[in-house]
Amino acid sequence: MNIYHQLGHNYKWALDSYFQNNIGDGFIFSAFSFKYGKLEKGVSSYKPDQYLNKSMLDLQFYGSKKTVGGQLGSYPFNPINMSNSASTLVAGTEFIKKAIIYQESLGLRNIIIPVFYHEVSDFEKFKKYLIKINKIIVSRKDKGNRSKYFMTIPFSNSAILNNDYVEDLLQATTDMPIVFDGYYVVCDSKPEYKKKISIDYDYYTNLIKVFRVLNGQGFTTVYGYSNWDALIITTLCNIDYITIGTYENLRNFNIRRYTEPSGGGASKGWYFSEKLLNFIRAEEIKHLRRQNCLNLIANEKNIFSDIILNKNYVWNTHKPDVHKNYLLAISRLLKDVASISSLSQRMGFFQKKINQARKLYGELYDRGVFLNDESSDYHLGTWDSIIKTYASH
Amino acid sequence: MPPIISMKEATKILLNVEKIHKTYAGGQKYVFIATCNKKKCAIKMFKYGFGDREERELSFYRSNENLTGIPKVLDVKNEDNETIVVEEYIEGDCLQDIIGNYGNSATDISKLICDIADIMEPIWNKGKIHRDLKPLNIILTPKGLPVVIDFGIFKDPDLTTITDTGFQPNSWPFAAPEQLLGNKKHISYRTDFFALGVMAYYLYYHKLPFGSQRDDVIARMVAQDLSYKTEDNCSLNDFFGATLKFDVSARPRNVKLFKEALLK
Repeated sequence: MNIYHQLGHNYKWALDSYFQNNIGDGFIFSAFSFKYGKLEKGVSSYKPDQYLNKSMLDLQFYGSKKTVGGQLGSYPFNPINMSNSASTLVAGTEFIKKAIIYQESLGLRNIIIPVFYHEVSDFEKFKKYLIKINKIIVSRKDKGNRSKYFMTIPFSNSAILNNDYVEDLLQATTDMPIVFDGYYVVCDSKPEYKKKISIDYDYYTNLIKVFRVLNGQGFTTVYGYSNWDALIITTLCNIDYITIGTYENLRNFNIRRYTEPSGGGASKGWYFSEKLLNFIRAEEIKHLRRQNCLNLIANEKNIFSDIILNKNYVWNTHKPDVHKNYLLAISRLLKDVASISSLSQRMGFFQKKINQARKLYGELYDRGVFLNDESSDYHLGTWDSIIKTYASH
Repeated sequence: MPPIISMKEATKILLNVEKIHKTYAGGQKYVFIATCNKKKCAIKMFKYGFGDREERELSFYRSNENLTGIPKVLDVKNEDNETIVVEEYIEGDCLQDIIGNYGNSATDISKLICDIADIMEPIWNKGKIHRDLKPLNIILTPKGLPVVIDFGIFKDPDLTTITDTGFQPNSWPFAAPEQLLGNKKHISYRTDFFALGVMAYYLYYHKLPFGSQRDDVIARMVAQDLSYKTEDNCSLNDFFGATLKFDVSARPRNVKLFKEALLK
């Protein structure tokens, strides 16, 4: 399993964490944050030959002609630049082909084939694109192109909760004529209010099914915009590339980012605790310190954690150490889980982690620290149930 | 007493029939095993006329006459508005009659299923599906090679199928969940993979994996409960596991993966 940084706002931190701190194995650049032509010239202080051979590019056809945001419009083949009179399927396929050729011209070994989010929520439309694009890839391969091609599967939240849609889509994406090397899966998890990750049982079981089926059929899988709920998914299936991201919009695929103007809200930041398997709001840190509980939740052998848990640290979500603590902690956890080859042993390993986290929440409570809302253990029961369900099969 | 069936003299003359060896009366047709023009053949005459199903099967054989392992049509004649199909005679045993040879013999079963997959692969590659693979539709030649027969309800995605008009195959013991539950849009080559999984199980254990009564099997399918009993050391377990899946998407996506599961 490889861990790739999903790059967006303040991408320098993720690049530095790879080059300076050995976190992760590569990068997924996004059109939203990188202007057309930038990757060829270098980003931050890094030169293309330092990163392109371990990178993918998500051209993010998630919006439409009316889309908003970032640098998307600088790409001549982005849907924003599609003429109103064009037939969507014909013109869309042409745009997708240009997106493929552009990535080939960059010398990328792994090519993410973008698809139109709004079109594919209709399964029949998705199937039409799938067949058309598959033919393009047959032709690219026949011409001797040796890149690996990963078709994007973008799940809206309603789609991932729809068993019939998921099965239809999996039948189409694993059909005999398909020649893609793999799939780039992005999924809108739509967590509930005051929660950061989903606790919807169907969301997990269907997403796990997606990865299990694709992997079982020999496709390489990339899980884009994954949050720390990737831990439970990795426990139950093999994924080839898992992404880690700094800001929430890189860890939680949300179509609104491409359809409505948005900005990050004010936040002092978060502390991701490997032991609690959760983010704790920065505001809670003071209380944890007061109750002498910081050592219980602190990440070990993590220099960024040491920095941000220092009592003089001024918390702010726009400081690199806050994010690097997460990147290091989550990448370690993911690697620990994925390094266990047997799925049943993996389940046992992670269930132990869940139990330890739940026990720790109890201990904190006993010591006068009640963590609520996003910082609470709201997700651990769902995770525990899911493992138990799969273990019993 | 079986019905006495005979061939009209005019038909014998039309087909140059020299000798009739055997006769069969099936559900839809009469079959005469005969020698015509010094060659043994199977002459098929249709009880209820030459309908869509028969037309479709004939068209299938004619458009796939280059393939091995399926019947070859030698001639088609019309007599008194009745269509008569003359097929190459396939010498051998119907698999259903010799299942005793396969009990607990995983190696022989693997080879047989692989051979059937080899016959079907070019057909599946064109998107066509047999939809009624079962021991009754497999003939084993004296060399031990299978011939797949009865493409009467095969599905061609480019054509409206007869089953689209309501008729569903009723070989329930080997049918996949999508057939038994009437989920037509999910019927694909992986429906045939499921049937071959059931066939392998049946040949190995001499019983069906999901029960011996149609209603029980359908109830299991409705509940999506496709659990079955198998010996821990049965070397076909990977194949059963790969093919006997409720979700079509989870069955092998191509013949390579299908065979890999079989030969593990």
